Amino acid sequence: MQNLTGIFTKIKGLQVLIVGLLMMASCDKTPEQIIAETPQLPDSNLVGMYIANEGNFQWGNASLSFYNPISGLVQTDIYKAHNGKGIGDVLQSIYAYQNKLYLVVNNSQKISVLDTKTWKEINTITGFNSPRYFLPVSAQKAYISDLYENAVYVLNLNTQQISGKIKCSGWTEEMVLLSNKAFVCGVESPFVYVINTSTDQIEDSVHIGYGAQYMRQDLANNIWVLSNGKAPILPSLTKINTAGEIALQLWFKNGDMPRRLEINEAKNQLFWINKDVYTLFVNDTLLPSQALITAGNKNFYALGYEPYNKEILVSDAKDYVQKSEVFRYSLSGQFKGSFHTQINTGNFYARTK
Amino acid sequence: MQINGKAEKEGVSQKTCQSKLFNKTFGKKSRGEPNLAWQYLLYLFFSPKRKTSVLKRNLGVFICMFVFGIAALSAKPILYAFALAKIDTNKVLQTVKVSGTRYPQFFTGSKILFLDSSQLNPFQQQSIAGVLAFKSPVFIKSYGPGMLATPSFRGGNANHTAIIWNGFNLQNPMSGQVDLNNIPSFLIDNIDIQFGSQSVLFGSGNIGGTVHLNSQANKQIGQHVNILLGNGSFGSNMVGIKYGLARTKWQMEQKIFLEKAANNFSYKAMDALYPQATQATNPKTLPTLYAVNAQRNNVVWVQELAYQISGKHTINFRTWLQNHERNIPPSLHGPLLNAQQKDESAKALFEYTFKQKSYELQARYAYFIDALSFKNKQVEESYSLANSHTAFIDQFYIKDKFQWHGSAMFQQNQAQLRGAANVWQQDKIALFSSIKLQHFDQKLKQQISARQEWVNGVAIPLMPAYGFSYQFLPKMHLDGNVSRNYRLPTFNDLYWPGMGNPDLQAEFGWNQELSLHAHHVINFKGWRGNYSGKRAFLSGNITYFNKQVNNWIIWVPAGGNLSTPMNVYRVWSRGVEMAWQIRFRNNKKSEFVVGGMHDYTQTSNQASTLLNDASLNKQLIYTPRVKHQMQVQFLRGDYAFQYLYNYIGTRFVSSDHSNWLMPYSLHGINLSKKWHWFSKNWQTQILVNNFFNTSYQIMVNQPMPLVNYQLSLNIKL
Repeated sequence: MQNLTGIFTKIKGLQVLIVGLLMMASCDKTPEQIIAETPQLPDSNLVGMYIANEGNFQWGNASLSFYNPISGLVQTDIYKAHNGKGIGDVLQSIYAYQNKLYLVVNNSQKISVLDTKTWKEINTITGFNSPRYFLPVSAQKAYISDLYENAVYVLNLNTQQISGKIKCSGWTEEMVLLSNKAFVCGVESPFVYVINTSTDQIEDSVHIGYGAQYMRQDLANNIWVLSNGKAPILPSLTKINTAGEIALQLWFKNGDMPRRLEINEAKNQLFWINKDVYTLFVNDTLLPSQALITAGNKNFYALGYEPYNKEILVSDAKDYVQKSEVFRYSLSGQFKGSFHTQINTGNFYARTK
Repeated sequence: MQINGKAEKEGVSQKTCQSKLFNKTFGKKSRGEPNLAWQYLLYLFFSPKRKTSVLKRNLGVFICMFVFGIAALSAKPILYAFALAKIDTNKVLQTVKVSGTRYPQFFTGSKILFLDSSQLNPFQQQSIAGVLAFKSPVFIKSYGPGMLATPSFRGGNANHTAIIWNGFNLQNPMSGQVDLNNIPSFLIDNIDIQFGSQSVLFGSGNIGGTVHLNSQANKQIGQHVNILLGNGSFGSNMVGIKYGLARTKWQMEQKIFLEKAANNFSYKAMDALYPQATQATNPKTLPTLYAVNAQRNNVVWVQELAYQISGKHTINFRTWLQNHERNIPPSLHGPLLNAQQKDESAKALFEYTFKQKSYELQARYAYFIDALSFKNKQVEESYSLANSHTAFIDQFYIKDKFQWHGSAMFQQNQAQLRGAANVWQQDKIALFSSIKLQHFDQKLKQQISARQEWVNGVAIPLMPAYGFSYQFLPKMHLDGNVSRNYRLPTFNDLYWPGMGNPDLQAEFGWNQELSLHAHHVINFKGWRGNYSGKRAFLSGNITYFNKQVNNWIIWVPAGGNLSTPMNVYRVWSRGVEMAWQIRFRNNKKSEFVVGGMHDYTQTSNQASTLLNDASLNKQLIYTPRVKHQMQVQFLRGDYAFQYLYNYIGTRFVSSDHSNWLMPYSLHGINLSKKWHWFSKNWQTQILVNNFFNTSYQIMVNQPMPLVNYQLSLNIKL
């Protein structure tokens, strides 16, 4: 070993090497390691937008943001800051009901229930297959649609446990409640299902073409359904009247990929993304030929409506692996500003007084 | 992105009937799977679950491969008797030369790392992912033991590193990737790792580097039997058999590798994603968990045959048949879906060589089939099938001062998804050539190369390259090269139903690098001033590389929940690589070796078509800036001890650097002993992986195993 020591002392190059290694090690810096805790909501009547950031599939980096339209403040990663852990894998949608915030976490097969004032998790509801959207249908009961279960789950809101399932065909998605009827999108079917919320039975189905995925209710209680189509059936925007009949059906052209239907709080103006953002007043009978908002080099991913400033919010997911940027537009499509959220902003939910 | 298709519902009843027939014929285990090696091989061909596509579409090739296998096996006794009669026990005769790495004379200016069989030896129970992780600067993106593992070289993507098996690229035409955990290192005799781009010689897909997996050339005359029995943690067992027979004109080798693992590896369910809400929890305080649904079953059969027709003409033939079944464990936040994946592949290579004095002609042909199926309890089985025909004609003229090669490549790639009407097809023709000149007593070597390729009849830009090597001192030389390189979009990029983008452009860029190599020998003197025989051999190199890639393809939103690949980034990679080794030989029986590799790689996105792209000028995701590897080896007599160290720096998992994974260090220890027993060579070996029980994740939320061992017995007859 003496010989080895001799080698080390003789070779100046080795010293250079060691210095080089130290320099290399110093290059491997990381940013701040702890999330700054965001304040609790100061005012229980505060309006704003809950924002679901899906994160990346299997990466467990879903997050929750809150946008205050008065101050313009965006609180990011609220769940992790207040609960000390991540939400889970793919935060699909949000619904606030009875002072609880229901976070539907798709690939974690759960719904996380938060206190709307403290952001603290008060319950986790499990037993789902691949949950998508939450819809309360009474004070005691909610429906949860599912990607793979071929059913809609019935959730008992008192016990916070699954109490049953309503069998459907394939993937179920967005839902709307109209009186005692729940309209449910069947993404892998030609139908919108109509469930009687008293009996939890499908009592009707409306043939809308194929691939209903998004749904909103207008001021006349018509149900508007945006469907994806499936070749050779084209995507369509369908108006279902209160009698459960198709009152209007507008067909998109081949190659169109319309997604994410939204409506203003007056419930008379619809919006959706078809690369650009388009709008339609509920009394119109033709699809618009001009975009309301042109995407340009933005990659529009999701759409929301912010009622306080009456603005359209459109998220740009960019390359899927960086913070989304949410662009704000007036109802006439005028750019108002933007703010950053977290990875893959996919759902907005308005918190109202 | 996970890509799953839908299986044909109409095929279910037919599949069930075939399944019953298969089970009746070949026997049934618990889930209708064959349980013997020979059954596996039949299963690979005739599995009813594969429907009819593989068998029907490729019946001719399968029959040829099977007939060759039977012929080779039945020929063994005859060849053996013939060989015994010829063996001269006093001489070590060389048999027909079987080359592995292609165009080695024309790597001028490129840095090459050669891993011989002794370096692969500790990893014989593992796949080549394990070898490359510890023995090369390639960063391995592994989703867990036995799960998907892809290479990242000099900041490149998984589809930027070409994996070449005996001269043919293994990259799947659908994904452009190679799963390194599909390739057992037991079946590979040596590996050449070529740093930097080599598109001129190897075409699309090697922007980061090239890994050449080779069969050993020049086997000694006689019979060679090598049996490897392995046992490891987490219910892992394997058997490897190599049977080789070589004589003056013939060389034949059969290699079989069987591996079965419960793979219920231990891990800690730590939150590895930063930033964290509070101070990170010490993983050691968390309970130890065990992976579920991670079982593996791997069967590979490789055959190699070389025949020297005359002094000028040589042919050789290789086949590779594999069936690798894996269950996929859930990610930390993901549900248990009983996911299953099956990789089946069949490969056949044929080569003819004519050599006369300085001229050599090679004609090579390969046919590869890769089938991949995936299912879990949420989705029906998806199934994809890719095949490729590749032919090369190479001509070489090799003299001391002047060397030339002219080559032509013809390739047809096809792929199909089950249930899809269209067969995706790509036809490629390439002409490429290199001229190498050696001056000043071979101290200066220069090479100029160019490649012209046509894809589906459309010419892609000319790919030129220049390389040099200059030995300016007896113990030092400088290497450098400049090359233009490209990667074609994959079939998935171009045609994936509803999302592919047929208008994608190929990725293009330039690579420049400069390496300084040095070595030195120290002879130590004894007390009396005489040389004692103790020697130290020092070697090292330092490299700077610089690489640009334009039209870098990423998947971006395409409206709602759909996405599509686009040419978005312009990526600039640059870095410094250092490698060094000190080999100290005390006497003939003992040796001490210490060495390391240290890399600093900066890979950033310099331009983007996205608005307000926060990834600009930032390190790409899953690309560590810093990597260190060290090994210390001590050999004495029949004993060998080796310590391995691997450090991987911070990896960002969001392109704006808002999330990241912390660095980790791994330590491994290998101890082996050789002995002679019943006039045979035996070797026992133990490899302890992750010696300090580190909790770590390479990919976010994909836990990696805690400390584990692998024990093996190697018998050479």
